[in-house]
Amino acid sequence: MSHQLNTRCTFRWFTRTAQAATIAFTLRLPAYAETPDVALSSLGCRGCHAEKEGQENGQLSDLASLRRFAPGEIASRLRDYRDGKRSGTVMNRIAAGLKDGEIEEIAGLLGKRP
Amino acid sequence: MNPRRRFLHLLAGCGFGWGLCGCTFGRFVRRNGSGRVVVVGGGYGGATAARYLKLMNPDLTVTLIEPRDSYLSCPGSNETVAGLKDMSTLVRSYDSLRRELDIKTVNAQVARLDRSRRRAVLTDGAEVPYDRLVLSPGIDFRWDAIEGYDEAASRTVPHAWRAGPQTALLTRQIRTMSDGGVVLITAPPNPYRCPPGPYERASLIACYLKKHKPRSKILILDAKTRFSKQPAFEQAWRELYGDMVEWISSEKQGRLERIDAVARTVETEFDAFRPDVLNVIPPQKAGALAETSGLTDASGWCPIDPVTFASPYDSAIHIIGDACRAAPMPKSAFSANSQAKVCAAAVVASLAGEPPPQPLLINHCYSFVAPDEAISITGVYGYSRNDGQLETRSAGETSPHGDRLREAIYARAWQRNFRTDVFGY
Repeated sequence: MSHQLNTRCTFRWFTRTAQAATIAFTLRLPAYAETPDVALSSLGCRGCHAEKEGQENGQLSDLASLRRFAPGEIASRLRDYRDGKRSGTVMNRIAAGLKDGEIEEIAGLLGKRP
Repeated sequence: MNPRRRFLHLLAGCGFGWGLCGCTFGRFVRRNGSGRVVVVGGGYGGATAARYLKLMNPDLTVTLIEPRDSYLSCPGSNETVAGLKDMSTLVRSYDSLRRELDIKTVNAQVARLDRSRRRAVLTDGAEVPYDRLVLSPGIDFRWDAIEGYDEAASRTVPHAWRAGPQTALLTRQIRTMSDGGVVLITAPPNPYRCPPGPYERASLIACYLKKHKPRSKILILDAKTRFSKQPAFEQAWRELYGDMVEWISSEKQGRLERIDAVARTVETEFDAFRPDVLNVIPPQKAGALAETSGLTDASGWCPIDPVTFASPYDSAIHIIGDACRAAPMPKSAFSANSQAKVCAAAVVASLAGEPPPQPLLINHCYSFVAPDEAISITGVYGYSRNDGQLETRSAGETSPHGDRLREAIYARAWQRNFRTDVFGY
């Protein structure tokens, strides 16, 4: 009985690990293809939207502290800046240099953590 | 757990599956590669590189070699010339890098690089060994480019293109100039540190003069025929300062022939000037150590691989910031910061025996045209495998009728946030 349980657990563990590995692999894939590494790209954003380690909101400032926003909200704002649906000062110009997939992933890296 | 340990713990926990945990650093955190990385130069490029190397791999031994106790920021220095800020606001400390990230700082000048033995040799003869060296030496001046303008001449006719005593000298000269005087700024040919810098300086000096010496005039004698953010600058000058600022294109005056620092005269191909305050911003090249170490080419700047910022002449040396040739990126503090992160990721990957990530870089730069009005220029740069170069993905600048008040609010916030991103406080 206990042996069966262990086998089932091991199998479940294996399936989950395989799933996680597949997701991780899919997400990592762009880093070694033609497209830029979005994790590295997102660090560029921190030249303005700085974050001090260990502090969710970074330094207090008049620039939006990105950790307050859900990734979906950041992504939709970036797309709106890029497509001219939202007016800004510099963000329209920066978002114009980003592609759809990159916007989603950058937003995921900079936004509120789950 | 102290904050640093907690953060490292957090980073370590994010070391896999970065896309799932949302941690910005996760993808880069390594504990499987160690090594000694020496960063030479503690400006915006060098300090960012040191900080991010340690954030990405806490196991690295990172040493920052810089002759000064603290850094004096060039961004913001034009505001001190105009009396809007005190020089003390430009000071950037290395304390946080030392304390919170365990970066070693060596207060010394590097005399030369012993490339074959991978050692930085200090002026007192001490040697600092490295596995990888990140060189961020900034600029040096081409003292032989303008007849009559050398380092000795700069002691009375300032360039003020490095923050410090030169900034103070120019500030003093403008303070003591009488009303109705002429300030002449000579702007250098491309490429040089901070392309919009001379024009921001003219704007802010105009702001000071309008208030205190309103009959005065500012001339910009340019080696170029156009300049960064030109339409927005010219619109601001018209609106704010009338005809106080006059830009003279090289098409009109031709070459700058010679300068007499004692008589304070400037001769061009077609004319001569005798201003009351003369500010000569000379043509530039990579910092001296890059040149003496054989890392520059005929251009006077350092060629680099734009994915890793490694030198084609030495794969153990990476060059970032103003000294490197990363066209089409301009030479700015923000470019140096963005390049430093790409370089740090490449160094960390290489010490772990992995390929470097593909970069996407950003430049973003504000110029103040008045105490509460600013304009900006922005660029996003990707890597093109076809030609092995960086390419512009998007670029733009404030339109002549842009919202300068709003940009000034962001510019002030940027100054604070940028300090945090680079110096960690």
